[in-house]
Amino acid sequence: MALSRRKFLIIAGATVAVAGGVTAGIIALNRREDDDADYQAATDPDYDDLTDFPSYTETQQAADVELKASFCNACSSHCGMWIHVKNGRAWKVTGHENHNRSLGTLCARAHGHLAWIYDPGRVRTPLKKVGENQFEPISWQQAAQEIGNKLREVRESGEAEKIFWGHNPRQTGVFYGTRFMHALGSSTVVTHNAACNTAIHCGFQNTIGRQGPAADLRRSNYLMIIGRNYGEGIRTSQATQFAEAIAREGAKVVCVDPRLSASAALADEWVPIRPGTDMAFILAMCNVLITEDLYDKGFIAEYAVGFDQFAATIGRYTPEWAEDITTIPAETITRLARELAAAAPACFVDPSWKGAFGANYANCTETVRTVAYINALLGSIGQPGGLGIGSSMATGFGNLNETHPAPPAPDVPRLDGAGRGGQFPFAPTPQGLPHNIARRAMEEPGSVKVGFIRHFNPVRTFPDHNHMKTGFEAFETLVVIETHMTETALCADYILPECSFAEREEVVENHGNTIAIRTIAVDKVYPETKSLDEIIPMLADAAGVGNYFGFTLDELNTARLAPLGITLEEMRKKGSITVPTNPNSMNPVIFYNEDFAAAGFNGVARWIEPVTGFRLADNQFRLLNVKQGYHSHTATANIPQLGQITKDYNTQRPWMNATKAAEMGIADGDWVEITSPQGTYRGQMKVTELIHPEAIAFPGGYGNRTPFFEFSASVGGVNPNDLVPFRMEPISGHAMLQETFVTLRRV
Amino acid sequence: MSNTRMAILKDTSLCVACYACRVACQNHNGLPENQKYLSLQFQEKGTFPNAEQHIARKSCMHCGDAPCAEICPVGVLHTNRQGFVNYIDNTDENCVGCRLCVNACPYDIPEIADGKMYKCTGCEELVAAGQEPACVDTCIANALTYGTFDEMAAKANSRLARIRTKYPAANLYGVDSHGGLGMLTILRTNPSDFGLS
Repeated sequence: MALSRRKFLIIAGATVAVAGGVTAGIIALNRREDDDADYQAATDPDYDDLTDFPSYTETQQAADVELKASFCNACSSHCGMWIHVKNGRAWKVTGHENHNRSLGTLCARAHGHLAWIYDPGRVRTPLKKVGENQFEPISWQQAAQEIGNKLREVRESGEAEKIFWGHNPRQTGVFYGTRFMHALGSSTVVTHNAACNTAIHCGFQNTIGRQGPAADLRRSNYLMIIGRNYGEGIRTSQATQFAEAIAREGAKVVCVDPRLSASAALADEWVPIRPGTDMAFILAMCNVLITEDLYDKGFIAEYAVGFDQFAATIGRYTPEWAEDITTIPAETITRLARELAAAAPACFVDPSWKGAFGANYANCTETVRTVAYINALLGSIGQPGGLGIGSSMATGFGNLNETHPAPPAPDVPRLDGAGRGGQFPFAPTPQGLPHNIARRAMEEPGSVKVGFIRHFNPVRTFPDHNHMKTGFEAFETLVVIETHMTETALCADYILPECSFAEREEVVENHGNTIAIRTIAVDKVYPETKSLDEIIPMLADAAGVGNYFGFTLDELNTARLAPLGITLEEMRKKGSITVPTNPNSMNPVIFYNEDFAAAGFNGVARWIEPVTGFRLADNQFRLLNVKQGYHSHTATANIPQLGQITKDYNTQRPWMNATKAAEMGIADGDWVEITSPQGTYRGQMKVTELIHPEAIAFPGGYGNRTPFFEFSASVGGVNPNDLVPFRMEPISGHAMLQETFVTLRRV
Repeated sequence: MSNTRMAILKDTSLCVACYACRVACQNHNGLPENQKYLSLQFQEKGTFPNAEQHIARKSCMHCGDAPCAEICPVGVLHTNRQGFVNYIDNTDENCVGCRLCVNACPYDIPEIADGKMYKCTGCEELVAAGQEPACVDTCIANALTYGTFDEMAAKANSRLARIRTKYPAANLYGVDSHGGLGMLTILRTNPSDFGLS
């Protein structure tokens, strides 16, 4: 065995030091004794034994390793994995070979996030707010009773629509959260997407008639990737397939990005572009395809609706016009369009994710519509090597509807204004607009009665911390179900401690041709924590709607698996199983959208500028909010193994162009004042040739504001959300993460 | 078990610098966050917009003639059956932290913590059981592969043909260095850019 005693003792020392620091914050709270059995268990000194590394080390060398099926919780890709357990403790993870999002490998975050299980900074008991960043432990009984009373009061006054649920949407939360809201009489469930990829969902829904197309990386001969960064905005399998495309004979990979990302650094060609102008680039390529008669007329004749209206607008979008806007030479634009056409239909313009147009600028939804247009012109939609439209399980999951009917979806307005009849009729309703709920709470007192947030941190991950914090604190009651003391948890009236991903079983989920389960890998480190399938029925009971939750998670999973002929026992043992799927069907491609026109938007997508324009004054830069492969937004900088990577390489630094830096007398590693209309922050710069002169790229993973994330505080960094104001894109309502300018001053 | 010489091949033309290798290695080998067996080095070349980013891996190269093992006064290190330089019996218990290995290493690899030297061991317990080293097993970009020394050298040479169309200086580093390395690297730029000779 490679684990020497010496090394484990080093770990033990480090852990104790951290534990001392973090628990101090919790101990400072007023302890409240009562006779609740769970509370007694939580205060039992023995329950820290599992974090005692020296005693663990005594016996670990000879121990057998047991593999427990799970999937990762460090981002929402949920890559399948095996947790290797020794002496009851999670030791390491390996990728699940049958899960289509991991394909047997895992990124750094999956390995690093084992630290969450044993983190002494975990929320260990239910907490009730007693002051700014001050909470007192209370029993589950008290928490459920007080929250239940509030919910009863809101329902009895006929205001249940003023309750909402917010989360990162994966099956367990979707099932329990949505059912809980419907049972209470609310229709509002919101997610992280409006600060990620809502424009993608809205743009594709309103062109190709479905959300979430994925590029067929494996079979493509020409991959034009605009903004998407497969190597750093990681879904493991896609990073693997991207690398396979880089290595594949005959395939060309073009990365269009203001920054030489880790992905662009491997591409056959890097095309730096002025931030916020991707739409002009795409429109100009459409111009070349149409004026040079290079488009797929058969595909257009069969699938396009309103193509002539689009073609009538294309004349002004010449490559020369786009050069002035994008800074990409006209001849490059023409060449790239011709190369795409030559490779068609086994080619694509990548549908992207957050990337360049998921939720960045006022023109993002319109940009996504033009991505659909150009793929239609190339005839690549639904073709091998093109823009894939996915597949669905041939036999779907079962349900409990016969024995335990679901509550009907209430016909009440959503709290966030998303969807038909709302302020943002085109905002996708599975995702919604949490930043708009924050606005309403501030502007309309009493408009938000109770918010529930589960494992989701919108107060830090949406632009404008002050807007989000003030808004979330203006809810009459905020309940946060969490493992850690996040920025959003600090706004809560009640924090309910969920057990970690490795300590709970979850609802069986499906991604394409994979179904997967998270099983209990290790015993609870903090016994008073509970899983969501325990928490929701308890709250529902207290609110008087417990009748909708009269079943166990095992019964639910058994019912889901029944039509597939798979037992729960088999599912737990195998973890991830491949199931038959049928390809999704092609829909028409809507070039001219009547609904958009009727709502006062453009029927055909037309060039619009970012709100802040695209031409810069002296000493103005565009802000980019970029990903690094070893962090998930601000959730992971507090994981010592991952935060240490940042420290070792000083990668919390924003990037700026070397020529611009020289003009301003800024050297690599210099500290500067970074100012936007939102405020001024001090940051240390990385000076590099790898970025467009007009851009400054801020890694989005730093700048936690919770005092409970001590390691993160030692990492430093400026969070781009602190430099960007609260805004909403007019069509889909997304948060426009990059609509600001920044200026720099040497200090 | 055969004594066929094995090697890890790092193809830097595929590396996305995600550090999955580093953290998987730390977990498997029980290292604290501030110790690691491998790190990455970066070199920018050219000027915007014709700029390039090059990568190399810094970790034990598993030299064929391993000067660290040769010089160790207490005989802690040896070359194992896979050709990797590991501790005798997979343990560093007898290391006295004298730093002779640190000074002898042509690649400036070994480090000392708590009076003992540490470095990549080639994951002997995994490869002896027919598995891959932890870093290779988790690599999400196919930038790390594991096989016999000859297989890895051949694989590298076929990759180089494609890489050289854009990077004429691309090369395979390590076949002839220090008795041949158990850690072979496809570089897109000259080894000297990373101080390798």
